[in-house]
Amino acid sequence: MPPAPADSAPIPPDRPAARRVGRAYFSRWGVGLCLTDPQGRVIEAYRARGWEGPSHETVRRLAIDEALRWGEPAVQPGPDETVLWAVPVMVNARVAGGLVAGIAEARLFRRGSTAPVIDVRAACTDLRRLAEEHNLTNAALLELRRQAYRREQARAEAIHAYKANPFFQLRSTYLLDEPSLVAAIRKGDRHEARNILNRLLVAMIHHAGDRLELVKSLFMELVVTMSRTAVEGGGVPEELLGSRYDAIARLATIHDDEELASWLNEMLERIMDAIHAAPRHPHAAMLEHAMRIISERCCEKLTRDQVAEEAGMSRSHFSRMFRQHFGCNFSDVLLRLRTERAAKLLAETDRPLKIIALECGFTDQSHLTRVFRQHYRVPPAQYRREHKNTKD
Amino acid sequence: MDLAPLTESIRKGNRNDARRYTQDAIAAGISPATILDALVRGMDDVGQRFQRNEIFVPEMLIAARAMKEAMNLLEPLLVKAGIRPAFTAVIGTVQGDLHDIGKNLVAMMWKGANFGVIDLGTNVPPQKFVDAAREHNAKVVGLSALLTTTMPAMKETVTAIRQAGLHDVKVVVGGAPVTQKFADEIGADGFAPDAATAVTVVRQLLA
Repeated sequence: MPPAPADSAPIPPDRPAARRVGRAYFSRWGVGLCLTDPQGRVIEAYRARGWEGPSHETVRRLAIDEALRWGEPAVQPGPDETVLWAVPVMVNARVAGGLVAGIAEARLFRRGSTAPVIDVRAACTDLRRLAEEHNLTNAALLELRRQAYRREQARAEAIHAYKANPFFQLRSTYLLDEPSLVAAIRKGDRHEARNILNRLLVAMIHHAGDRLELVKSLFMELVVTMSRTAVEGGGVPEELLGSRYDAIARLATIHDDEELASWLNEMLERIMDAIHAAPRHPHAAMLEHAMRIISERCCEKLTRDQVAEEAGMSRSHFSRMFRQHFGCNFSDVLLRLRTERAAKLLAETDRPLKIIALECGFTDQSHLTRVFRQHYRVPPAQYRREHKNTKD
Repeated sequence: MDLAPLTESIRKGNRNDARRYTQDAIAAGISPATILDALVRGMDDVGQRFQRNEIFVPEMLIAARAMKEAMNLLEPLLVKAGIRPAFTAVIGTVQGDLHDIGKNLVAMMWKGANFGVIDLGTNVPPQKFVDAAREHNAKVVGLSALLTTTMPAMKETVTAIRQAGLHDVKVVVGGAPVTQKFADEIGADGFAPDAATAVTVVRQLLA
């Protein structure tokens, strides 16, 4: 059931429960809270001061709306150099107000330091959990929102990722999509498999434009990578790419879109057949689950052991399988995803670097800068200058 | 004369055949409207198969190009015979968003369905949509956005269109972050999750 609009008949929020959350939250995080109405007007404050004025109300309302939209508190830069996040206070499916937490940047970052004094992302999640524990919000609805938007977000980010740095991103996007692709093929769900492939193809075609040779090389990479997966699962290389790789040789002779479309169609269907029939994919489902955890929670404190455990594999086995299947290790993927997310925020927002570092799961700004340089070969500030409001 | 091979050439995306069969049909004196129907039938089929995830994107692209080749031959005759697209649709990516991939796919499918298409490009301010809809007497405005940050610009554009008194104009929205719920919230008339559905949605809205 969709939540009622914020301005429908007002519902009184549970103030005693809100107070309990305020106390618990302050003792855990040292961050003050206020209970607001759906418009962001303060009803009661718990260890929070100086949040008056219409601009504060607007940001608080935005923070509540955003949390409702994504199912999770999201860090918002507030007026007067504050940072805030919120959870909607709900009575069944109706919004009764919000619990808004906030801290001045000056308190969050000690003088001269770019490392925050608390883990803001964990504090965001904890606020939601506390509100859920005290029955102040609709946990089921927020969970649904998180699920719905994860997929939408992933789609948008996948396309964006290509645009920011297509060749680098192409591989990691494929990597993220591969487990679901393989799972869909193994289940015999060709429609879903084509849907995933079409997302990748759209991005490739968009990037390459009219440059047929570039389109060809991108398609070839996709076909070769998918073949590798099929061979690893027990497929016969000759059946996939032909003896002496003649499918690849044939690609070299193609000079026309129509032939290329037909070549690609034939190759992808053939590889999907091979993956479907391949006898050995014992860990595909677990690795898919692991990759989904990494992708969805890459900005949180996430360890290899934690992911292994949640995916139902032993730690050492997980590392070996992960490397064997994806050709890189857990921390490579995690850092790559965090860096890509940071790159996206740099290009699309004006948020300060230290805030972006926090949001993306880096320990501090200098950590982000160091990793960013390794991936993109430029410092974050330069990347922002070059990619801000540009198409490619 | 049997126009099935012409329809088939569009379905298969064979532009040489599409051109040849169109020429043959014109030479045989078949009315431009009948030829157009055969082309649109082919493109509709491609759109539906894409919607059902039965084909890959490159196959849709070559079909659209074959359609374009045939239309190059047919268009002068359609104009001469006074046959115009049933209506005009204005399309663009909303202000603040520079992505054109989804918008281009929709424009391509709309052209394939024989809608008159005015493509305003990317980063289009609300007023420009209003002006273009008015100038071309458009029945449909298509808004695309790829960034979550530009979704509010969609709402502004819908509001601008309504405030300009263009009440008959149907607004269709789409793009990776857009959902049916969002479309409902901002008062859009239709939501298209992909390019092929955009054709179906418009046809339903204008039926």
